[in-house]
Amino acid sequence: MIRQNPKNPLRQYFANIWSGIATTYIGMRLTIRYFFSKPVTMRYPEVRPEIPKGHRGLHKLSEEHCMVCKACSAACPVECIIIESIGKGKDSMLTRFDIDYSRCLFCELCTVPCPNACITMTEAYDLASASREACILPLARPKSEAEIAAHKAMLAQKEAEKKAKQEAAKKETPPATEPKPPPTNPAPPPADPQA
Amino acid sequence: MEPFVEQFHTSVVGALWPAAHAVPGWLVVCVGYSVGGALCLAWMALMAMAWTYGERRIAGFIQVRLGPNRVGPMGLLQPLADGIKLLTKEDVAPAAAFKILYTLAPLLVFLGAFIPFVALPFSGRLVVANMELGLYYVLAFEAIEVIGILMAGWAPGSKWSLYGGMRLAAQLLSYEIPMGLCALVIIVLSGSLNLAEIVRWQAGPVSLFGLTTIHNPVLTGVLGWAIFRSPAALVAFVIFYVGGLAAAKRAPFDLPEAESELVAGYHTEYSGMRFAFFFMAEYAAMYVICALAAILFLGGWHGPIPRPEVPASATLIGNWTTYVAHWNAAQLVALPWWRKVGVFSMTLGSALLQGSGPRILLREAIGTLNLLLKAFGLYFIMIWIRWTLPRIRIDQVMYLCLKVLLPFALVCVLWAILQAALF
Repeated sequence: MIRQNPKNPLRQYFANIWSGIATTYIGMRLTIRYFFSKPVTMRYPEVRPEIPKGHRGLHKLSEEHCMVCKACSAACPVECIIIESIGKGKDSMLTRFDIDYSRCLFCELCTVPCPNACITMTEAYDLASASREACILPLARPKSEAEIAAHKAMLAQKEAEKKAKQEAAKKETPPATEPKPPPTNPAPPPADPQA
Repeated sequence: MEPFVEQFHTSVVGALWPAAHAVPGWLVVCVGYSVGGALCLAWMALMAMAWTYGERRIAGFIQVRLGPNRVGPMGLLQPLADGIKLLTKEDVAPAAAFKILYTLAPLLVFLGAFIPFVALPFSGRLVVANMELGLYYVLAFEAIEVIGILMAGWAPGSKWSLYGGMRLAAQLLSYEIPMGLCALVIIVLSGSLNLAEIVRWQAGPVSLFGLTTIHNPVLTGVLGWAIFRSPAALVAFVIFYVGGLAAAKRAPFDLPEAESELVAGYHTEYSGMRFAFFFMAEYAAMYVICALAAILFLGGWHGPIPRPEVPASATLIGNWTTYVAHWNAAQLVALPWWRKVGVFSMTLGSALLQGSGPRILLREAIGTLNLLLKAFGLYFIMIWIRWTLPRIRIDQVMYLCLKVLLPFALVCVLWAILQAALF
């Protein structure tokens, strides 16, 4: 800054020059200190930052514990969980468990109602994808056609067995259905996750 | 260069291919200077590329980050990637541009930055044109840039460019005066305009306040520098360097291209290779200023590293001609061309490896190293200043030049004249 001093302009002139040199020296000393200090840059793809515990990143589904109760899907405020399955209760098979990350809020509400704690949130944070379609991530293990067919066949067989048993029971004791109710119902009770 | 070219032409090439004698002398000199110019151009391009990388890296470290480090090892190929990017960019010219000046401006700026390289010596013998008026030549052709930049400012018909061009013209012309006066200090003290002669003066014996005289070449290598010979030269060095910052349009004097207010100043409307020309010219001009400051004030190639002594008469080309002369001339002429090439390279190898050849090579190599050390040190300080100081206002630029640097430079010249006259 060039200061004016009408009383002693010559002295002020040299004082201005001196302050210019001194302030430049201070600034240069500071920057050279930074020059020799360690850069704070993190070389991202090679070096990963440490994520604090409790970070809500991508979901993780442990499929073997999931019983397709769809409580998570019901709890989701933005309806970003899409579940499709075959069968009911213990015999159910998950065919589709997609999370649409273009809508997901990372609110963690889906993990709360899960009875088996099979949907949890991990610390994975790199969610970038190249297209809108790629935002929908399948979490369930993809099932082959043969597997689905086998499962359907198993379900049909069970259904058939159940029907056969029911008919057999009907034939055995057509008049006395009242005294023996438990054996008439050998099939597993319908899935009730709240029970 | 001229005696070197002629000696090479008559003694070495002429002995192998007598038909070469029939080639007119001017053509030989033209070819010789073209080769020298091409080498200078290569060196200029190398400086520009290396220092764009250096600047970005140093800026990164000063800002506690890494700078470019992805392209190639440690990001060393970054300037190449930038070059490819600039080459493939679309060449856009504004509709309102005055086409002739618009096209000519980058070339003129580039030329102004390139021409001084021809007269800039690397070492005692390593110079394309050892001119008697070398210093005058360098300073004069540095100023060509002003015309090019005024053209670049006016031709595109953009207000940002015009502001940048006008600012640059005002700034450059003002700072030429203290820079010229500082060069005058050295001219008065050394009594020469020849850059090699100025460096030779700095290598001479040093007298300590008229009490004793130092002759030790190791001591005079540092104490003989102009800045230690006279306090006037020391102050002149600082003024020359500050003026050089302004002439190279570096921060804090980067008003002509002030990116935060003028977009990019005089090169706002240029893209692709035209922009690259401006960019290269800026970095090359910075190198010229730094090398010139090192030659004038910091002892040039008489550096901290001592060099082996070589008799002044010994030259590589002289050795070479004697080796060629050892061959029987009649026998030489009769050889097939591939054996002539063999003789050419064998005698060259002998000249480099025998007699005083290795000593000359070592002397020149260390001299170049000394000069580059100093020039690159000054270059680093330029970058360091840029990433430290903010841009100053145009009135402050003018105040600094006309009210501070100019009076001090005048006092330095007066002191130098008194010193040269009285001691």
